[in-house]
Amino acid sequence: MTERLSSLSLPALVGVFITVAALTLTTQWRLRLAILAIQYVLTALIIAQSVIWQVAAVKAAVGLLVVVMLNLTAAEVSAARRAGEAVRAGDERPAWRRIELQTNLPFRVAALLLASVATWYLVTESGLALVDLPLELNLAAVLLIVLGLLGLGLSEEPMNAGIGLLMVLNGFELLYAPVERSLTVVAMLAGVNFGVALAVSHLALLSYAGKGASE
Amino acid sequence: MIPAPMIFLALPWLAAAAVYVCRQRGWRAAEVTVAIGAALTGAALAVWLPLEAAPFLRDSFGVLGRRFVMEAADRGALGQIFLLAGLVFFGAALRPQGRFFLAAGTAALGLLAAALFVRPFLFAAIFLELAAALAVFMLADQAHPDTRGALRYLTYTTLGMPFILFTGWLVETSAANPQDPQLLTLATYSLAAGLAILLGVAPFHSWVPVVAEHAPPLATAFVTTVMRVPIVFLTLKLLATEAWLGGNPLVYNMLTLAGFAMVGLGALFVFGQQNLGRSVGYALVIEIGAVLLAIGLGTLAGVEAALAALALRGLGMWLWAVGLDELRRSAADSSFEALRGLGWRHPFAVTAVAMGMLSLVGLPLMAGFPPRWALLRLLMEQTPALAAILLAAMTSVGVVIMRGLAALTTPKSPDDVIQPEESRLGKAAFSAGVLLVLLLGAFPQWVLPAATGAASALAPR
Repeated sequence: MTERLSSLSLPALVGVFITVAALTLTTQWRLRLAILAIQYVLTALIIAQSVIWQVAAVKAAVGLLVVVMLNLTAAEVSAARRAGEAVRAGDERPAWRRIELQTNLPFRVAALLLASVATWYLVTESGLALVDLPLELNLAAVLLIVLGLLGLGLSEEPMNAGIGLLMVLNGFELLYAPVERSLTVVAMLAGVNFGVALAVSHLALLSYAGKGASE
Repeated sequence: MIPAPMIFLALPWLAAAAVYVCRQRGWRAAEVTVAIGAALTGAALAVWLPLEAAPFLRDSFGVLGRRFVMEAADRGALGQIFLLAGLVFFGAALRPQGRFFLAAGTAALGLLAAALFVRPFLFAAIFLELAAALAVFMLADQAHPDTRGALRYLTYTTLGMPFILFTGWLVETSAANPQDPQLLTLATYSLAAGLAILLGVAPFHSWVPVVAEHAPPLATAFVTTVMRVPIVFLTLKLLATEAWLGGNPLVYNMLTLAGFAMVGLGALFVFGQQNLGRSVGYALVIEIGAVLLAIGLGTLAGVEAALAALALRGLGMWLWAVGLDELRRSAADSSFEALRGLGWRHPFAVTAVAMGMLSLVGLPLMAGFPPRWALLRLLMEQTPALAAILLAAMTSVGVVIMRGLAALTTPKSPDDVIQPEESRLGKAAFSAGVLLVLLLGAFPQWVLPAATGAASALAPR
């Protein structure tokens, strides 16, 4: 099983790059959460070459549950902002054309390119990569951390910043899971993911409740 | 046999469940009583639990290869955590707080206790992160919907955790490869980065003033006093037990540098503040800088000064928080302009805020003075320049407090007829707090032996 999953690590790395790029460039919560879910599955595929597949499956399941949790919050907030949604309901454009990109798109594209180059340099040239781990794993982890930090730096809105924070955590877990194989730690890190998602949901709900009250 | 650590993990969680049920049912008195009762019971057990004498108690238990051990040195930290939490929860009895305030705060106590007990020590980072996630529910609520402070706090704690966990792996790898000294150097830097982020050392301090400005004052007091105790104890434990760390002079230089940066930065930024929340945020930056300077001395006396400051800071912060919580009910925010003239309407609350801040600064006759004085004397002996900078920082906060007091006691209009409107319970609580700050300033020997009891076990070897 592990060997079969290992053969998917390169396509998964390409997939991770596409998902982090999409998360950096888009704004819509629902779309971002769907991308985040895909990203969790892809990172689980990458990590499966370094840990037993059951641990990778647990990590994917935790990630998907986190996304479900955030999606419920997004649904709650959307319901509260139904008036705004009603305007969009009249939009005749096909779904793919309604995808919203960040207003500072050129900056984000430039930042994405710079971060990708920096990640490549950090992993292949600087000697900071964990030498016992596969290149794909190092690249995916550093990419997630760097672009997660970028996302954190670019937004103070709880849901978007929270997605950045979860990306950083995901990147860290990619590096940490192969070196610390204790099941307790796997369980505790799952708890951390749920805790962060719960806190982010709370802040997102408050943030929009506050805006609704002030409008 | 009952594992003693389990008592401190289970008690807060059971109490938190009960607190939440009481809240849902609308039983406010029961909610507050259970939270305060659990915190004070935890504090009493931390001090008096007969761990060695009782045949039905054992000092540890294990879960899937990780051990939770209660040592004598943990008692002081546990006592502080539960007692300070009890004080904060008492503040919630004076004024109702957010829906999750007491339940999240009580549950966080179990995680903080776990952070003290877990072995290897470095896994404490995970419990601190979980406690931070719970604290977010205290830092932002319906009445305080500004989420910036809570989000930053969560972000920094989450970013600090990986560094500390990686340190554990680096140390294990180094034990397997003793011929590679590079690994321990990396571990030192990784741990320093993690602790710096968790403690809010500059440039990772930005959450402190933002939390102090936007979050409920009692929640600010909780995260800056209760939640900081295990981090400081973790730092001290690591210095005392890990030879590669405690025996490295570079580490003490780093601590001193971090302390200097925080004191200097706090002094610089607090001076121009026009907001009571942000002012105390920068005062806290200075305070934690002072604690780092004390630890950086690398002596038993330094550790004693750090532990005393940590314990007595809580009282000043609590007094500030309960006072400001009262004032914030009558003002849109905690800016001097918004609070202008409230000193006439809430004289006891304003006195509490001022005395709390003065104690935090370490003014003579206040509870915060003895540890600050001890630190200043130690610094004067070793590096007088640092003592001078710390004094300048204290003066800087003092000036801001005076400016704040001037605003609070100046009515918005000279024609304003302002009647005092404070409850009897509020007056009694503020008066008792002020009296306690003054008494502990005059008779520090009442609490210092308990606060610094663990110093000999935590002093660098």
